[in-house]
Amino acid sequence: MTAILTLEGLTKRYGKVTAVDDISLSIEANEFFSLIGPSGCGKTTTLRSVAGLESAQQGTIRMAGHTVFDAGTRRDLPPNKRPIGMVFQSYAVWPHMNIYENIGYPLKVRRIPRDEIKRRVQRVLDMLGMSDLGARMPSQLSGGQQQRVALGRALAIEPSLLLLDEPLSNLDAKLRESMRAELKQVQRDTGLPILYVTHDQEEALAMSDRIGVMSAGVLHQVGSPTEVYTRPATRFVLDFIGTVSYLPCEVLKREGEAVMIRWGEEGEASATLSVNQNTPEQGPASLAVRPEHLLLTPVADAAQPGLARGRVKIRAYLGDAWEYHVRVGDCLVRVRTDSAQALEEGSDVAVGVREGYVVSADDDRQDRVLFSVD
Amino acid sequence: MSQRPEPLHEVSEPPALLRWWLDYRRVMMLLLALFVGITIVYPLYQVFWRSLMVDGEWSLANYSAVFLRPSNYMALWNTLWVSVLATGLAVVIGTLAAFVIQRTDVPHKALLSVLLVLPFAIPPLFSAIGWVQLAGPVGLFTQWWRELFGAPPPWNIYSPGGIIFVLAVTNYPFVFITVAGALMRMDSSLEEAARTSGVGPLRIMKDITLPLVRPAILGGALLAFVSSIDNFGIPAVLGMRAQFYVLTTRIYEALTIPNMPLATAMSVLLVLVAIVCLVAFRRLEGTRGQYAVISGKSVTPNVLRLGKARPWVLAVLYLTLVVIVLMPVFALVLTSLLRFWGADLSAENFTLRHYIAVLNQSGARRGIINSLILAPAAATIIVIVSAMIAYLNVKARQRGAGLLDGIATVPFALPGSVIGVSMILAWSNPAFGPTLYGTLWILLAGYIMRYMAFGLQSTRSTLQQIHDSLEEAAWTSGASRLRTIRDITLPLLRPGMLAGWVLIFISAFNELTVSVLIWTTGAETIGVWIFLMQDSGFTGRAAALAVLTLPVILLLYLFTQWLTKLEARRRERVAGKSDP
Repeated sequence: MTAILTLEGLTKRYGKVTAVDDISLSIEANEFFSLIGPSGCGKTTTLRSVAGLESAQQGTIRMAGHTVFDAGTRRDLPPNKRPIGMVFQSYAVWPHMNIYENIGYPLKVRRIPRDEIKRRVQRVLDMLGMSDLGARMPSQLSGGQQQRVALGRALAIEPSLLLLDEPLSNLDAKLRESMRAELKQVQRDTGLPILYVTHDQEEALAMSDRIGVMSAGVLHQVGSPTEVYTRPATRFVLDFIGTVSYLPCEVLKREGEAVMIRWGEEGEASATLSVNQNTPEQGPASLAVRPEHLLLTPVADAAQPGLARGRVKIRAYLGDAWEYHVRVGDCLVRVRTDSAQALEEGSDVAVGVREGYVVSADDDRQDRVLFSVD
Repeated sequence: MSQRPEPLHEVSEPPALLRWWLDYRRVMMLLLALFVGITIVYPLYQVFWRSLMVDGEWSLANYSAVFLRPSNYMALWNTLWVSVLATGLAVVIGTLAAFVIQRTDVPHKALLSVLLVLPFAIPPLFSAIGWVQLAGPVGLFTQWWRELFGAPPPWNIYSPGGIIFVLAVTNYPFVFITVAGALMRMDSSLEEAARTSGVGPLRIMKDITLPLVRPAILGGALLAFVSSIDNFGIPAVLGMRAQFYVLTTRIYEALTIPNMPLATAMSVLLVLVAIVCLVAFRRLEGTRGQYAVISGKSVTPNVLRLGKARPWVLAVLYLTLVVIVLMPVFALVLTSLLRFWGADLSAENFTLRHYIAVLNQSGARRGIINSLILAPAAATIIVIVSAMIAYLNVKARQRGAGLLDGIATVPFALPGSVIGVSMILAWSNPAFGPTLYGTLWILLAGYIMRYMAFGLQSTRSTLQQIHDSLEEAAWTSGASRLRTIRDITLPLLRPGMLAGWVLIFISAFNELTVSVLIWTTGAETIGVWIFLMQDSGFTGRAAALAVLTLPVILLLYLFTQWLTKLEARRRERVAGKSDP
């Protein structure tokens, strides 16, 4: 595989604030790569640096075999010299041009013959299912259609790399889901590498081949959606991706890759889980669990030992599942079960743990490593 | 689309130093700073510097000279109290009208709104002449009063009272527009909350609505006040005959002597009055206006049902509008067509001789031509320059462009007389460059200084509505910066530039306050000629010339109204997104 985009040591400061802190990553051909993180984490600044809309202070950016930015030699190609297509959060469809002119503009400024422009714009329109809308003005289109035009405009020149800056965040939930599938389809059809920026983890997990998780300018982890979800590199990634609840527990002993803990209100429950680099050797710790890591049993059936006592405080029906907020000791944990198992609010339950992350209790620094990335 | 093309561009870049010099932003910035420096900073510097200089020494002698003669400090005092009272009356008229239009079920709202803002289109000098013909010694209203009551009327138009009244009926639209706008945008749930608490509609207006629009009332009042102290035409026509002087007319007198140091010192006083009032209003707004309740929603708000009073309210409104808006214009037209004012309205007394006289007078013809050259020239230069300044400031975020924008906006707060005086000081014996005094160029320079803020305001606000991503999208699509400006920014900015152009044209076409101080033979304007004819007793000719310009102004004025409506509809599109 050849890298289409390579960032090395990219650093961007605004005054004293470091928006992007020494980031290195590379995107392969045909890859759908997402940068994800809370707002202000530097993901958009990274994307805009790749586009050439921002100039970093350190590092290099190589694109399709050419250096487009190098802080050392002060080489900084403007956006119009970079082989990219970009889609903006606000669509940025030009209101004074019709749809045909919008999509054809990148071809027009590259002096491509009129016939060729016509052919290629029509092909893009067909691909986006907007074959007849070329003569419309943007104000006559819905938000979803406008975003499709913006995508078409970015695809028209057949760029080496497609940059997407939270393109779906202005759409309503239904439309967002269908656009998600459509975007994925376009990527599969064209084989275009995509750098996608979003704060929506669901979106990133669903669409990406690989995900980069950022916080405060630092890239915490790069990996496939399953890697990032199941083997979070740091405490930040554990908290940010998916849902976690924390419970106090006590490490009894570690044996190789396994750790035995005691937990529950009075330490009545026990479990054997796998270790991570943050798991303490002995003594008090925190048990981080995702909603699907826990099992609930009506307390009447719970004769077996090893389970903790809990009580259902709130339940929510999600259609395909139930979500419960269960009180265990002083803590509320979120538990997800399949829709067949309905428990009443206020009922006593026995809680079992299938999987989880045992982490140190007195040190919750965000950059504390759990699983190192190869 | 599966084969991946090579990068479309591979360029070698010029060395850094060359790039620095080639950067269009720095070059533009330099040229624009030079322009603003010459047209605005240099004249301003002249006013403040020269007023503090006597025979090459620092001295406050000019200021003590102002206060040694009562006629001078009386002018300052007169400016203040006349403007305060005129503003008070304008606030009453404007606020009442805004409440009736926005918060009652009075019919004909569209027509009434158009009529209510019509005084904006009529130059104050025209109103002054019109009111002389209506309420002057041989005016229509005066005659009617005599016939009805057999006694002279209890008013005298050539008096402070006359000035206050005409200023108020000229300036109330400032208050009307700001208050009506605030009432329209106010969140109606605030009023509904009061209504559901069992409060009656009148009580709601007094306790809820009025306090909430107080910032808007203050804002409108400030504009009306600045416009009042700035005005020359009205106190010149109505006050000078009665030996009642305000600062603007005193400065005019001082320049006819000519006493340049005195005029300069009084100009600075006029600036101080403007600044003090500006600060005072800001403080009032600052302490009282901290409500963030005026949202963008427009919902039908608390409406007072007039019931049986409806036709009466409507009748009073129309009567008022006819008297204060239409009658002065009607009187002006009638004056231009009658052999002499006071003649019977019979067929043999109607004549075109005033028009013929005006058009046969070479000076007046020259005035028309000069104004037809100056107004579009000033408008074009201002719009182009301010579009560039606004672009550097808002879009290119060039350092210093914001300061340039601020400096170029300063003259907006300056009374016209000050600009006139600064022009004479700067360009009658300039430290550098040619002597502009005595040519059309000095008028052009004066108009540019006076109306620069109009151009900046309209281009700046339009650019701010153009989302940054629209330009970035073109840039990432492969267009260079200049190409982006040509293909994206300029087409989207054009409506704002056009609106600014028309506004400047209308204002400059009839400009009087500045022109009357800096005109010379050969370099007169329409406004100057109308004033001179009126001043020397040829009211018929003055009216004829005024009537000749009215269609131009009114048509352009209607054009701006139409543009504003168009702009409102376009706004959401320009914002770069529209809701699904």
